[in-house]
Amino acid sequence: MTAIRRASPTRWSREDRSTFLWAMLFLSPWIIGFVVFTAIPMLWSLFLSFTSYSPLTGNAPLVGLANYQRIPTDPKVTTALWNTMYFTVLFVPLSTILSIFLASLLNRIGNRTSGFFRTAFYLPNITPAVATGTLFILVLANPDGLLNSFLRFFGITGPSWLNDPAWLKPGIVIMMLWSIGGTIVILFAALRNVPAELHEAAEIDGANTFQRFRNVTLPLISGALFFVIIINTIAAIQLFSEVYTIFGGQRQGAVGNDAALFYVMYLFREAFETFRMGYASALAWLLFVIVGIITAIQFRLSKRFVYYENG
Amino acid sequence: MRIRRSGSASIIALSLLVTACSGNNSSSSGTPAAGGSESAAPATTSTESTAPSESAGASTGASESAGASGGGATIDASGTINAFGVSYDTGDTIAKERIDYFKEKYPNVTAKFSESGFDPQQFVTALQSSDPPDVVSIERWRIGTYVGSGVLEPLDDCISKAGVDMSNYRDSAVKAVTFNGKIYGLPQFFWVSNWLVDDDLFKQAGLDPANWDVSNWDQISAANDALLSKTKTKVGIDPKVSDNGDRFPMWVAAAGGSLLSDDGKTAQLDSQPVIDALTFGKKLIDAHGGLTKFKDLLGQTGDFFGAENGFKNNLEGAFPMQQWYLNVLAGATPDTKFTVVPFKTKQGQPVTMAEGDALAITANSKNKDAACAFITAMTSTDAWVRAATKRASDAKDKKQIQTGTSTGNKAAEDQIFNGIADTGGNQVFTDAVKNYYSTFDSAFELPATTAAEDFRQAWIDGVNAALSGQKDPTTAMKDAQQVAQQALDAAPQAP
Repeated sequence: MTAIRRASPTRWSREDRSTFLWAMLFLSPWIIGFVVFTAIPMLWSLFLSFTSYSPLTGNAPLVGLANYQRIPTDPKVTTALWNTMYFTVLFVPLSTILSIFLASLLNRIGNRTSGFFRTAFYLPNITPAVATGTLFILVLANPDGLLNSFLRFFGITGPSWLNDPAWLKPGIVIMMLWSIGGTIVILFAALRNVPAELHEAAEIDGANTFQRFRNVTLPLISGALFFVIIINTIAAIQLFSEVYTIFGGQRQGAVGNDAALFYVMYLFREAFETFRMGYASALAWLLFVIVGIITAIQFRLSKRFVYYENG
Repeated sequence: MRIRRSGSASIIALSLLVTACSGNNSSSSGTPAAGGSESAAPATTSTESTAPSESAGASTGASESAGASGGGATIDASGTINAFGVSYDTGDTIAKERIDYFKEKYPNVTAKFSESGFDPQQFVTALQSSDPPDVVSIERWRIGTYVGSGVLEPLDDCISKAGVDMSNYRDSAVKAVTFNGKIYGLPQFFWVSNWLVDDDLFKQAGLDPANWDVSNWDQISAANDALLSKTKTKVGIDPKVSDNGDRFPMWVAAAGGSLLSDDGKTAQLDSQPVIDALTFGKKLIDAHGGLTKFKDLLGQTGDFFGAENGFKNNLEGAFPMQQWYLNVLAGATPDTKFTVVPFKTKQGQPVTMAEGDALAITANSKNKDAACAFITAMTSTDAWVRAATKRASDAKDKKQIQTGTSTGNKAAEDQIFNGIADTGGNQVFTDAVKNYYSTFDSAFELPATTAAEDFRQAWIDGVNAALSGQKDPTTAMKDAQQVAQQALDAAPQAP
């Protein structure tokens, strides 16, 4: 009886091994970068979250779960989380809807013109966040800022975007909407990939513009939409630079009840102003978990709402 | 467990950023920078005097009388030191001249400067670098945070080695940097606050700045109402208690209290003088239509540092302000008509709050003698007088007003304000300088505490919660008291 040699799935030919080594060689810059700048710092941060490390003393006594136990009792965390979620819930849908609208407009005009507008829409994205924050101090000022002056032209008295706790977050949403160029470009690319025949067929079937958008365009760009929603959600939760420019430093206590205290701002304050690195690390990990949960929920929902042409 | 310092700062920073921001945050590029209200005081963090270049006539021979009591003995020092929070190339005359004085006195010491103001994040990173700072210029109110962490060196040895006469320094400034009887910094700058009154607006409101009794809070309130109802000013009286608190401790002192016990261990945020001060500050602000409206109006008072400032355009009635602002007005609008009225307690005694920096030596300095040489030379009478004299002569060349520099060194101030500062015959500025200088001896500073940052944040939160109407003053400060006391109790003891 001839013994049958089972082919081992892990047995690689010389060519396979060579291919693998070459692949690893080309991937190594990223792998090294990931390990050094992402994986190790993350693990280090996780370790620090169980200590009361102070960079001033260099001491990192282990404190077990104390940092995590403190989080629910810290009223600033509740405030910061509420502000951050409030902003996210306002910003993500608005930025998505506005981006779809502007991308649709771009899709309807000629290539040359759309090129100009694509550049124009994208320009704010390459503006430094600090410059954006500084600019919007002037735009949102009351009563003589650009926005309220514009509203006054229509007989509307604008609110105090920078000083009124009730209007502060909507004001920040307006500021951040200025930088949706990246989202517009992604959705514009998706819109251009929607086959014209499908629209023609729907039109022949009697579908109006809204019905074509609802039943043809939207499903076909749902993959891109899903992507930008996730990216914008994460970006919104991590809001920092622009608001720190406006409300950090001297104006830190400017708005009573901490209306401008966003989560990463508080994390930064704990880490680099009061030097409670252990607690700041715990806050960072809580944020990581929150982002993970929200993203997981979005992925779960995507199975119902996102259409992938090939699967 | 002790973590090796070297290089760990970058890892920590990286860890936090990567953990919190590892997502694709398209909106977070750029470096955060502190935004600032127009009323923000210029940085109190470097050796620079932040006032714009002043002018005026210099007095003669100012440095002649700066004897050993100022400069002290010469230390046997050589080698290199790093000075953090100190500027030379980008510094002003006051910084450069004092550093030049040091260089001449200690030619064997090479000093390198951070060319920046004090920034906690940069400082902690610098501490962990391979070439950490030997000297740091730091605001006096926050020095306790670093003393408690053991980052700074007690100066007993330095003071005795250099033969420094500490009685030369302002007592309140020295107290602010003294922990458990040990001095951790040599004071530099001494900015006190008093009322700045817009004469034109007061006249329009039927008020006389000279007869305005600021010890009577009813009169302050009445002036606020009159300014708002009878003039076109944007802001009547700004008590300077919003934003980061600014002058709130001074109001508390005027009401007969203090935010913190003398030993720096017991918060007194819920005491009656604190509640009274907050209630009154809120009343002044509410008369403008509430905090939001008040801040909007404040934003319409013009360019605080420029030629179109609130005084020039009669847009702000009165507010307590540090004396460096005289230099701003002297440079921007020398023809402005204003009056400086000393801030007073309810009993009519002058009381003012002083702020400024301290030069300290880091505990890990490898060249403490040279560091000691630097901080003693920089805060010596000779150095200050030399700097003030140069600034005065520069100003005279430009035919500008020079209102002097308050240093924290009494002997130097005596010479500067009795000869060097020259207002060029401008009576408004002459009176203003005189009135400010007259209050130096009545100045206080908040007691030293190793919970400096947390304590400050606690009372600022309390004040803002009350001003915004989120809580009534009593509840706001009761809550703040709890937070502040917890911070004080948890703070490390000074070594």
